[in-house]
Amino acid sequence: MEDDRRDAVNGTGDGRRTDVAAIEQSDAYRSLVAQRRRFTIIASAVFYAVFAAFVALASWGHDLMGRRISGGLAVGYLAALAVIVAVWLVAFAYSRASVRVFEPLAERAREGRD
Amino acid sequence: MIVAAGTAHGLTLGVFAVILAMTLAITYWASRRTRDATSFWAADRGITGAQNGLAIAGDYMSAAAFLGTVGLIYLFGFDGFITGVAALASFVTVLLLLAERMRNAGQFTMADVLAFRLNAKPARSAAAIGTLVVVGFYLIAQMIAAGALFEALAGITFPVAVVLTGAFMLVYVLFGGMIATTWVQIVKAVLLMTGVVVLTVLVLRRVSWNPFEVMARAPAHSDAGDAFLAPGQFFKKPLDSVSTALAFLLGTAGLPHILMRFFTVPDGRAARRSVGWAVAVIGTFYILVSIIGFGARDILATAGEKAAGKGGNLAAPLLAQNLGGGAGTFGGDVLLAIISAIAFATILAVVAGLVIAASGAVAHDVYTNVVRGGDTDEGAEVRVARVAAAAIAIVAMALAILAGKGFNIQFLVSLTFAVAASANFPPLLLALTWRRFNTTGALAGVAVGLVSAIGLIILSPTVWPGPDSEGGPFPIVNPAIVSIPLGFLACWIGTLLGPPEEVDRYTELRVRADTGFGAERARTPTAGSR
Repeated sequence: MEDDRRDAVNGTGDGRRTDVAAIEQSDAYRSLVAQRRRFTIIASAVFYAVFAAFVALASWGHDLMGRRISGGLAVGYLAALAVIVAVWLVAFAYSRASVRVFEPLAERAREGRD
Repeated sequence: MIVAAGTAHGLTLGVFAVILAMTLAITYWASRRTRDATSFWAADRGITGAQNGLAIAGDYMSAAAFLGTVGLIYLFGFDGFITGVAALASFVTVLLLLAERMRNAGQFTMADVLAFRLNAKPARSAAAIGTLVVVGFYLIAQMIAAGALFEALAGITFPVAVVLTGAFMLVYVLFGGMIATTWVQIVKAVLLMTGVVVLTVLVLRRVSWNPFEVMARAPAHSDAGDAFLAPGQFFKKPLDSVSTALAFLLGTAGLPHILMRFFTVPDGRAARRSVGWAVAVIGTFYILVSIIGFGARDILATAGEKAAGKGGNLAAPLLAQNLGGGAGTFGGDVLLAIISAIAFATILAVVAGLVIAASGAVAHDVYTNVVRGGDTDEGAEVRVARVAAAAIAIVAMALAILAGKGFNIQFLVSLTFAVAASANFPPLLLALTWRRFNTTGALAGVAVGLVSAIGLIILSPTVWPGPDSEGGPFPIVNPAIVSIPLGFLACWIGTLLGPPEEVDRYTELRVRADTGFGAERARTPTAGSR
C-alpha cells in the first residue's frame, strides 16, 4: 500500500493520479466547477430566502399567516404550498441545467484526460 | 385508543398478513440475487433513478411523517404542516450539494467519503459513531411507535409487537440485504401513497372537491377557533419552530440511511434523478396529508381528541374508520384495517433501511477498514454485517421494550435529526467542499455536534427535569439552532488547530465527485460472479 493512512476502499494508483491532475487542469473541468458553483449559489440563495421567509412568518407573523384570502385558504397555507412548489422548481431547474450544461462538461472533462 | 372490536383486529391482521407475504416473496427473490458486499449494501448499483426515488420516499415517509403529521395537524392545525414543508425543503440541500457527489465519491457508507481525503481510520471511526448514534435513536423510536400502534390497532401486546417488528425487519435484511430492503420500501411507498390518495378522495368527496372548504370548516370544530389556520398552536415560542425547521432542513442531509440509498444507483445522473422523483412523491404526500389532517379536524372534531391519543397519532386510522362508515360497520372496519396495515408496513420499510445502514457502519467501516485495515474479503465483510444487523436489532428491541410504549418518542426523533444535522452534515459538507479541511476538524465537528445536540436535548423542556416538565435550563425544544452552528464552528477551529493535510486527495475527491471519474461502477445483475 502506497500510503499507510489510506484504506483499501480508496486506494489510488499512480496512473489514476496523473489522470486526475489532467482532468483538474482541463478547461472543461474548470468551466464545470465554475458554472455549477454559480448555479448552486443562485439557486440556494433564492430558495433559502423563500424558506427563511416562510419560517420567519410562521414563527413571528401569526396574524398575517392566519389571515384568510378566500374561504378556508389562509396566507400561511398558501405560503407553505409556495415553498413546496419552490422545491419542485429548484429540482426542475437543476435537472435541466445538468442535462444541458453540467453533464456534457463532465463528459468532456473525463474524455479529455489524455 | 380505538375501541375496535375483534373483527376489526382480525381484519387488520389479515390485511397485514397479505402485505407481509408480499414482502417475504420479495425477500426470497432478493436473497437469490444477493452474493457479495455490493449486493448486500448497494443492491448491485442496479436500481434506476425512478425506483430509487420511490425507495427514498419510502425510507423517508416514516410513521411519524404519516400518522404524526396527520395527528399534529388534527390537534394543532397549521403548525403540524411546518415540519412537513421543512422535511421536503431538506431535499434541496441533498440535491444541490450531496446526491451526485455521494454517489461518485463513496462506495457503501457515508464514512467512505470522509475517509477518501482524510486520515482514514479516525475519520471513518468518527463517521461510524455518528451513523450509529443517529440510526440507533431513530430505530428505537420507530420500534416503540410500531409496538404502540400494533397494540392499539391489532390487539397484540407491546413487547410481542416490538419483537415481531424486529423479526421481520431482520428477515428482510439478513436474507435480502439492500435489494429486498429497496423493494420493500418501493412497495411501501406505493401502498402509502395509495392509502393517502384514498383518504383524501373520501375527505374531499364530502366538500364537493374543494380542499379549501375543508379548511374553512375545520376551525369551527376546534377550541382554537380561527387561530387553527394560523401558526402558534403547537410551537409556542418563535424559536421553537425556527429550530425545529432548521433541524429538519439540514438533518436529512446527515441521515445515513437516506444518503446510503444513493449508492444503489448506477451513476451520478441516476442519483440526481432519484431526488427529482423523491421530491415529487414526498411533496404530493405532504399536500395530501395536510388535507387529511384538516379533514380529520372537520370530521372527528373535538370529540375525537381523546381517542386520537397523545400526539394525535391515531387520528388517521380513526378518520379512516369514520370515512368508511364508522365504528362497527363493515366499511369502517375494512378501511381502518387497510390504513392500519399500511402504517405497519411503513414502519417495517423504514426500520429495515436503518438496520442496513447501521450494519454498514459496523462491518464495512469499523470491522473491515478500521480493525482489519482493509485486509479482509467480501465474504467475511458480509458475514460480519449480518451478525451486526442481528445484534443491533436485538439491542434495539430490548431497549424499545425497556423504554416502554409511554416513552417520549418525539424526544428520540428530535434527537435523531438534531444529531444528524449537527454531527454528520457539517463534516460531510466540508469534506466535499473545503480544501483546507482536515482530520482534526472532522473529529472535532462530530464530537461537538454529538455532545451539544444530545446535551441540549437533555436540558430542553421536552426532557428536563422530568416528564411533563415546564422548562429546563435550555429553553428551546429542539437544539438544532445552537448545535448546528457549534458543529460547523468545531470543524473550523479543529481544522485551524490540526496539522494541514496534503491537498492531492482533496483534488482527486473533487474531480471524482464532480465528474464521476473513477467512481464505483454499476454492474448488471447478470454480469456473473466477481
